[in-house]
Amino acid sequence: MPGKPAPVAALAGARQREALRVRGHKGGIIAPHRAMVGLRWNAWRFLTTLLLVVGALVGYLAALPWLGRGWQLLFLRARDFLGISAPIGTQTLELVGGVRFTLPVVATFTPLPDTRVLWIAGIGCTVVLLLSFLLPERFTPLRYFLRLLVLVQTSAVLFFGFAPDPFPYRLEDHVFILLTAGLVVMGLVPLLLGLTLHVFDLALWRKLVLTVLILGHLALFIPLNALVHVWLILQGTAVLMPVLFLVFGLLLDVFVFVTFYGWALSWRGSEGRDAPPPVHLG
Amino acid sequence: MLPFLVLLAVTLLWFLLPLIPALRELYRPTDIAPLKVVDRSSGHVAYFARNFKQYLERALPVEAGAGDYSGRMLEGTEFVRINLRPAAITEAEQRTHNRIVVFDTPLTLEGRETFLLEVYARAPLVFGPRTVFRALYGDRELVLGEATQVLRWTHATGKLTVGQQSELRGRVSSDAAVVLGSGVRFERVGAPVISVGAAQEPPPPPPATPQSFPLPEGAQQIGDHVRIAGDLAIPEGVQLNSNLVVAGRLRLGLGAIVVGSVKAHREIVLGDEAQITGSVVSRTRIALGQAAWIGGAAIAEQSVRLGRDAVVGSPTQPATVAATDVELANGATVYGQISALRAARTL
Amino acid sequence: MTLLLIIPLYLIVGVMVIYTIRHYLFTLNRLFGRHRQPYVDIGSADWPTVAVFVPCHNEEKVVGHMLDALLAGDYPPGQLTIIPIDDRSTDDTRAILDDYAARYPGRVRPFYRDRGRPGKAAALKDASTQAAGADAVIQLVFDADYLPGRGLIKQLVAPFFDVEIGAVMGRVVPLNVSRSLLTRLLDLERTGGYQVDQQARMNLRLIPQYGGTVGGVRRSALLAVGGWNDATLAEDTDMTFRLVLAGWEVAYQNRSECYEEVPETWGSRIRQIKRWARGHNQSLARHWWPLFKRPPHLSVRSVIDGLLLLGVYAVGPLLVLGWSLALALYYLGVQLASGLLAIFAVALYSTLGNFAAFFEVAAGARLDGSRSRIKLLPFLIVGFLVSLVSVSWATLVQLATFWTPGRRQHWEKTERFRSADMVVPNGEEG
Repeated sequence: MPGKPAPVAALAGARQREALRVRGHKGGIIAPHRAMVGLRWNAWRFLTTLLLVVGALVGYLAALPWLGRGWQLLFLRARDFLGISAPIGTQTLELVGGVRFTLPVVATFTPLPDTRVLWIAGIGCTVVLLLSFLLPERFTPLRYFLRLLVLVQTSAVLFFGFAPDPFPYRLEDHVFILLTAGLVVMGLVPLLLGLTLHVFDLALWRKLVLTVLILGHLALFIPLNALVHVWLILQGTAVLMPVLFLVFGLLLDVFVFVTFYGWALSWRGSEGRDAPPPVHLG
Repeated sequence: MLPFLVLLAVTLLWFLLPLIPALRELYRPTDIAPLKVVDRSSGHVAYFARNFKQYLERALPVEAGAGDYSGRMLEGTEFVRINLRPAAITEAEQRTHNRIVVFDTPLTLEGRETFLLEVYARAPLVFGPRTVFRALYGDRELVLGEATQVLRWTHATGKLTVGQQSELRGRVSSDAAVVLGSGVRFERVGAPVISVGAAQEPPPPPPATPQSFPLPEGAQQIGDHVRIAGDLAIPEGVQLNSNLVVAGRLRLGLGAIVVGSVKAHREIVLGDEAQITGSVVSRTRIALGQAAWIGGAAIAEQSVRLGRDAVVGSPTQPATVAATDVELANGATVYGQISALRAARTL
Repeated sequence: MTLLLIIPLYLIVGVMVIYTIRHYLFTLNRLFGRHRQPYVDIGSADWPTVAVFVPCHNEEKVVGHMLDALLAGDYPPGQLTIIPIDDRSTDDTRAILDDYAARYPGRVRPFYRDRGRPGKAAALKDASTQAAGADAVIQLVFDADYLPGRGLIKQLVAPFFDVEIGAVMGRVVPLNVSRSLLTRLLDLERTGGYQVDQQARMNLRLIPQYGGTVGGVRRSALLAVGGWNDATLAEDTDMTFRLVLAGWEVAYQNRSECYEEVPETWGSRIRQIKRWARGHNQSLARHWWPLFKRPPHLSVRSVIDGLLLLGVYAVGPLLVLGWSLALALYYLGVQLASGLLAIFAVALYSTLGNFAAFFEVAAGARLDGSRSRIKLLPFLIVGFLVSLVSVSWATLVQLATFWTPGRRQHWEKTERFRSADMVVPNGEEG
């Protein structure tokens, strides 16, 4: 009919028509099958990912001197709180690009185990090993984990009991490596998130919040964990150092990252709950 | 000792803090059901149409007497039934209908209507040009006018005729036949016979005593097929009785015949009147010349182009044409189904 | 002495780095790559004859559900023969099969084994050549605890219209997810393995793996490579590589989903993964060299992928060896590089390497739309630990007994847990 608007106009444009297209007669959304969906990469996501990664990295590097000072302060306070009589020194590091910062150093002797301690450690290992066999089947992962601990701890007992060479690490080295490796993990967080999280359709603020949460968490967890190590080694001697270093060091930092990551990927996408996921077209 | 225990507790709590969502999900699961494996052939071309028909049978009230009627489905959706006075819908000032429309009488509509909810035609129906449907189900024949748009799906129990320049999104099906005009765009069509204009018949069976074609040297027999390392050109008029896998391009000359199925890692081109009696699969594209025939499926990861009067399948041997893009020239006929990941169009 | 420790450690780290890169590549490809599912739209066809084999050993709890599901399918009945293979069941399995055979004559044709080597591979070997109806063009295999949907047989047959396809694999979806932490973790692992890993292989034209169930083989391909190998514990992996080496392709159909029952107890899981490891390692020993020589029809990247796939269970003991070497070097005070650089390298390796598998699983679950279960991601570490220990132990025992005279292959069947209250979700769209 001349003069009348085209009926398509009644659908208020392509957007509404598209919404209508994916809604079933019962009102539900007809999402493409999960086997057919993927993600679309667009300029906006690329740009925001780049900004988030670079921004977080620059921010982290800029915050390193404060972080070092904060850790230093925490170590000093904790030393007094725990009643440790070791002096807390500093070690200055300089990164490529001129970023300088200091890390706390526990400048004290490293207690070595005597025969009594080795016997206690050996008996402890045996008890834990037996316990691992007594646990019911549903605790199988715990059983395996305990045996792993026993394995590493036994190696330490054997080393201190029989090795002719002196133990090559001091408490100072242990803490320094722990803190430095933690800092490296923190530096990797923005990059890893860029590769594995920012590619998803989460809102920008969520990505930003997650970056801050992980870095914030690790910024406190790494020195706290190191302080726990310090106390345990000072009380329990260097016989605990291998198990603390190999099992309760870097792996815990990675575990924290995985935990946050799993939580973040459970968040709703930026396109809203009802929006169908995008589909690949060839 | 106590200060250390405090430190240990603080460290542990801080370590476990991000684990709270995981622990909550572990002990108070919100996502513990198995993934829903859709067990009712949801991939079938008429899946949504059949679901809608079942829904109608359940939810459409059985009205007393005859005549036009408007009311609500049992679950509350508004509907209108057109029986005696088709004008009730065609004369409405607002040509956008926001309720399910049930046509109970044969009718020819003027066109330019917009149906925001499904249309159910119990009688043969002829729609005018530029009609927009959300979805359309016909118990009999349906004729869609020029430049029709369907947003979700279309099904006709009888023959479905689609006017030129129409755009049919989603799944289109008929239990009898689909006849497409020129310039039609669609995604998936399924019917015993789908044609652009008048349907063509498949060619007669290949001759029993053909002019044979020797395979090139280096052809390797692997199980039930022969593998050719590079390109292969089968000359005009010859016949090859074998399944083939060609690592390069495959070309069939005018009237050449392959009795068997074929796969090529690059494109497959069938010259005019060439035939392949089995399935044809290409990692890139398949092009059929005029009146060429493929007996089985024609699957290409990029495109399939059916030339004038080219045929895929036969009345006794249904087949599927599937590719990212599909093009059909006038007279092209498919017995079975056409699926285009991106778009199919008639020329 | 130190060098003797450092060089193997570097080699192991190198292997791990390659596997890490592979994880990231597969996941990113699955998320952003071109999605290859060329056969998924084949709906109309002149469907070929199909024989569905269902190996059974004491399956009274589950086999009835399985047969009902197959019989309710939409495959043309005249083209489909269901062949349950009863391998010396001591429960009521045989009576159940007899009952079905009587009720569906010609459609259900059981094949009974009372002698010969036990196990799935041997059962398939016998039935695929001797059973009535086994001469079908396509031979599909389902374990007895699986529940195929109505359209699944057609979906699995569709790729065989491509003459180069020798085997097809569908996606396995755990049904008993809610039973325990283990079943929930296995559900996540399966998601990563199928939704991401297998589909990425399909996308990249690598070597998707035929998994022994929810899939099948072309009979002519099976015959061409000499039939099922009953001397292996992983006849599926063995078949994958024999087909690929002989010039066939394996197709993965991500859309062709089927319910399975995953182990509900750690003991059962450990036995399952040990069996997989031993079988897979047998394939590694048998096929790595022919694959390494690269037959002309295979691309270099397919060969690399194939070798990595073959070695996937050998990685466990390798990792354990790496840790042992690292522990020894730790006590020796050996720095792998100088100072900060060493710390950086170890942290980088530890972070990226350890996270790769988590990324794959999380991405798969996100694509599945199962967002909340991704929260369980950190618990996967316990599953990895158990798998690592089990696989390493199985491999070590296998190596230790390799030359033992008179050793016999022992096939352990996965325990069934299905109870009468099991509910199969009836998925619907719209």
